[in-house]
Amino acid sequence: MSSKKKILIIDDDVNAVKYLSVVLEEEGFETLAAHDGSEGWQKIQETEVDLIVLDVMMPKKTGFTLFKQLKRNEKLRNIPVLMLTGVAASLDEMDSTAENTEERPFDCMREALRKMIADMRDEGPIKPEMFVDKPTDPEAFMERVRQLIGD
Amino acid sequence: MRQHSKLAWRMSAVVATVVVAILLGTGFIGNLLARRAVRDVACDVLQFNSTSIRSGIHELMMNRNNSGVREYIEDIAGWSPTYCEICLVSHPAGLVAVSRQMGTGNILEQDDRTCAQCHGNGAHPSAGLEQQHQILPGVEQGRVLQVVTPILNEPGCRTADCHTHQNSGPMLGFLYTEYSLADVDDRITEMTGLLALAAVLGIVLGTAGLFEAFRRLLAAPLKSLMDGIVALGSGRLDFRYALRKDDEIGRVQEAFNSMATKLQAHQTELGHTLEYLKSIIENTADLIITVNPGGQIETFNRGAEQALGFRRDEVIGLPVETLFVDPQERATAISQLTEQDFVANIETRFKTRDGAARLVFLTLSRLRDQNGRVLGTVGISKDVTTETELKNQLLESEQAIAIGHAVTAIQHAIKNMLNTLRGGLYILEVGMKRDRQDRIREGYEMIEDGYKRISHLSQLMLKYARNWQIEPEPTDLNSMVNETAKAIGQVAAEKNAVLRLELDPDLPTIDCDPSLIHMTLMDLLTNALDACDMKEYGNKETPEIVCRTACDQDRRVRVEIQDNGVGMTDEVRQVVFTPFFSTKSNWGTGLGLALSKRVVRLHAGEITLQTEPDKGSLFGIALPISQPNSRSRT
Repeated sequence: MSSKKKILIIDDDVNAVKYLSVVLEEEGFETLAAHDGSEGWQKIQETEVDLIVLDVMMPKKTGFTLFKQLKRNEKLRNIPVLMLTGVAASLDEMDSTAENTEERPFDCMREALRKMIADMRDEGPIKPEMFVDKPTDPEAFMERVRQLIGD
Repeated sequence: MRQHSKLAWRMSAVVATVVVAILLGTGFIGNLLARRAVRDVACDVLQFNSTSIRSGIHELMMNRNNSGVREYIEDIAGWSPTYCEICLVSHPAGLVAVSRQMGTGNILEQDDRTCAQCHGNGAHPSAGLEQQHQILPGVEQGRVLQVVTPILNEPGCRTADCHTHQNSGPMLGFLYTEYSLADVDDRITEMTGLLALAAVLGIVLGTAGLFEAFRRLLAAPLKSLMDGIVALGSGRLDFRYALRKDDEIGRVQEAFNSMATKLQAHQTELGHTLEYLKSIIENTADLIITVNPGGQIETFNRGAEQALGFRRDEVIGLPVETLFVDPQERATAISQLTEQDFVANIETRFKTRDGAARLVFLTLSRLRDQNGRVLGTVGISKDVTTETELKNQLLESEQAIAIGHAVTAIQHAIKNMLNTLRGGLYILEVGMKRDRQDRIREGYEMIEDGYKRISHLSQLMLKYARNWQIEPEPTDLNSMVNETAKAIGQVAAEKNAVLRLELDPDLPTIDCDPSLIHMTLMDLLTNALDACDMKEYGNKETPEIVCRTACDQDRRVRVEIQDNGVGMTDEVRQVVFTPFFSTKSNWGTGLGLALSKRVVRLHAGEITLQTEPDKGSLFGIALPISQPNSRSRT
């Protein structure tokens, strides 16, 4: 029986999944992959995992939808989740009212993100370590993983 | 005065002529009537006298006093001044018993004037027993009135023993008298002369009176009216008459006063309007300069003074070319005026007093009078130097912002791709370190994938930045939609999406660039498929895409692509056509819809979007049937 901790990576970007899998495997984790929210939800239920790396923007079922689904499930709500945002700057601005008017086209995405994060708070406490820029450098990513997994 | 009395003179002369004519006429008729009346009176008197004398004779004869008869007649002839002739003649013997002129005892010839009255034409008049009279024209002493009174052979006479009358004719004799009317006629003539004199005097005095009356009643008021007209003509619009009489002249004066009041009001209004217009011209910030037909400056408003720094007295009279930085520009503008009298917004430069140049938009108009004669030109110029400088600065600033946007957007777009490269490099590195071929291959493939994506993005960016020229040709959009649907059909089938076409069979052929429209259709259909792919469908729903064609009310052809995919929020809808914006987190370039919009705009068409989250989106393209610069390649 393997003592390796299992981490489920849910992301529609095949390359990102590959990269993160290699990073995690190099660090001695076992990885599973799912390429959309629905597939991810199925795998969570099938396999017991220690951490879920979840992409925010995904077709079919977004990372936030899946997050809420997890938190509302008694059995699964305690599995730690690392959210891959892809828009790290938005998180920096999360609690700030500062606006950068020169990047207007992307404001709506930030706004949507803010709403989703606010929505997530309803399901439980939101910590900064739950978010990471996608795909970050291996060290930064692993640091977040260890913070969440407590390893 | 003499001039103004002409009318009075003429009217007086006319009246005098009429009066003279009437007087002459009535004088002539009066004279005739007078003469006749006098004659009739004289006749009556003489006939009466003759009858009286006959009665005297009759009485004497009845008393057989024949000698008394002779004495009686001789007595009358002797002293009465009334008669120029009186004679007693026996009839028919014609023996003159007594006569003043012819001598007593003569036998009268039948053509004697005493016989001629009754026997003028030789016949014995039946009226011979009646008293006769006639007037003869006098030879020396004027007219003569003859009265012949017959002495009848009365019954007593036939048996008288004093004498017997031969033939016992009805008439014993007759009393013949002549009366000269010369005195009467002289009197009448004298009276007529006096009357004529009085008439002439009356005419002269009447004419003088009439003249004065006309002068006072007509000529003087007319002169006064003329004074008023002259006063108005010379600009004295405050001239008014003190109204005196309630007659025609008074009413004319009243009308004149009313006219003068209205004229004065109009002049005041005109003055105000003129001042108002002058004020507009003077106080407008634009440069208003008028030029005479000789090309010299005539007016130069304050706006021109302020913009160019010249005082108007410095430039009025100078050739207008001196104001232009390049006088040739003025010549060019004027040459355009020969075709039409108006040229708008010519960009040109004026010289200021200190030699600087001001950029202006000049509008030139030809000034003409009512007969079309050229009076000169008016130029209204707007100084746009500051605005142009500001506009250029703004343009530079906008360009800088646009570049900033583009850089941010590009950076955003390539970030994922760089991450792919970075991931690939990491896996390659791990594979090389661990000597694992599978990792090396994976890493290589990721790097290759990243390269392909960057390459694709780069091509799209070049395409977007290109200065496109569409090459329209007659195109059957239905065929194009069919081809595009066929091309994408395989992918749709793999994703279990239904692709349905609702094509209008009467769709007209349109002018468009087929390669660009095909690219747009392909992009919109791919987007629709992606939108379906991003949605999690329940059991009752399946992914569906409908592509319609139709001709709309504005004679445009419309293509609609409708999906029942994820749809968009209002925020996303507002920016969906912005370059580099994408909701496809990993694989979108954010250029597809921006390119589609540009292609449709190039065709003078319109692209619209209706969308609702989780319900789907409907993209519509409306394209005009013909392009303005269509080059048919058929």
